[in-house]
Amino acid sequence: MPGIDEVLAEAMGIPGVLGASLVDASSGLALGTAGQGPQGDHEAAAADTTEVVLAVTRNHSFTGGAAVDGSSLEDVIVTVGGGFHLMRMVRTEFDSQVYLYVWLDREQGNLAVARHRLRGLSELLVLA
Amino acid sequence: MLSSGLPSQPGPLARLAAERVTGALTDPGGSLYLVDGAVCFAESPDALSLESLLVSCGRLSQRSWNLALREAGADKRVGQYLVEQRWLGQGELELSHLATLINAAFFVLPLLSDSARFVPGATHWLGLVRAVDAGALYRAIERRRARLDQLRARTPPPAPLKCPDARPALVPLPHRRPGKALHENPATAARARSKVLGHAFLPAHVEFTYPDTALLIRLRRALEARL
Repeated sequence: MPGIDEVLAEAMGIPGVLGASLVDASSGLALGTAGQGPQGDHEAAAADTTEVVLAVTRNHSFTGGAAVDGSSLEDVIVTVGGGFHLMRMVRTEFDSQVYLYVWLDREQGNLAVARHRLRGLSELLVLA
Repeated sequence: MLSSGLPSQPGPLARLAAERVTGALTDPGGSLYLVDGAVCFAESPDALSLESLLVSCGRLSQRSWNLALREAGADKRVGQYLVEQRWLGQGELELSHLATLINAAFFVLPLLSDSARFVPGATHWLGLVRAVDAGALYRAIERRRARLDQLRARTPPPAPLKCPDARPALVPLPHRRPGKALHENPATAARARSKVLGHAFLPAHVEFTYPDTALLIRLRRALEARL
């Protein structure tokens, strides 16, 4: 079964991908990286995307208003002029908060394809 | 937001990381294991262990864990053994290991002093599963702590009036030291919450559940029952 590095190597095969990482949302720490990060800085991207993910998880408009533990969140997608940023939460049986993050070139990337592939990779990562 | 505004990493860890050493740094507050200057294991008496994380959720039986320790502990390859037995996937091993590492580092790093004992060449019985850059880990822990502080600043005091049998939330009881109040110190509070709920990630968990006054009240009651 694949580990973090193998999954990130697979993520680098997503069309239009510029960089990929696995991030711990409890701290904003990049647990593994591949390719390039925005501004050439994976560490800053991990911290920044964590702020976005946490902003979503703590607002009831996105999470249904119930007692929220973040478990209903699937993806956070940010589109900007030059690219796409996709964050995909990874479900684990034990208590952890991690997400896969990919940064895509706007022209080369396809949002639907990337989202589909990233979902598959998030499941592959925790395959027993 | 870049992390440049955060304080630089102090203490013995910065020096050992720069020298790219391998070994264990031990303090009464816990231990950090380094390989080539990167942090590959952290443990704290205040944080959930890998064993507790995996067994408490039912992912691994206590029997399997004990067997792995017995069979592979002496060779310092318990992690690899769990994967070889197909009890855990490689990804699961790495994720659970890193989850406990970050959580333990949250408690250990602030307590590390220059008097911490360093044992060169020491390795951990789990074996090398994955390591993280010491500087990046330090900055991430600082961010987590800053977020907890923000959370504390904006969280209204639990409202006793909405909950008839709740004790007054902000008035320390005479027999308790004020420092034991849930909201007083984020590190203490996080540690206490972790212990009460057997939960590895209470700091962020609270972030996820905010604003949940009912949860805060439940936590406070659970804590007060213990104190």
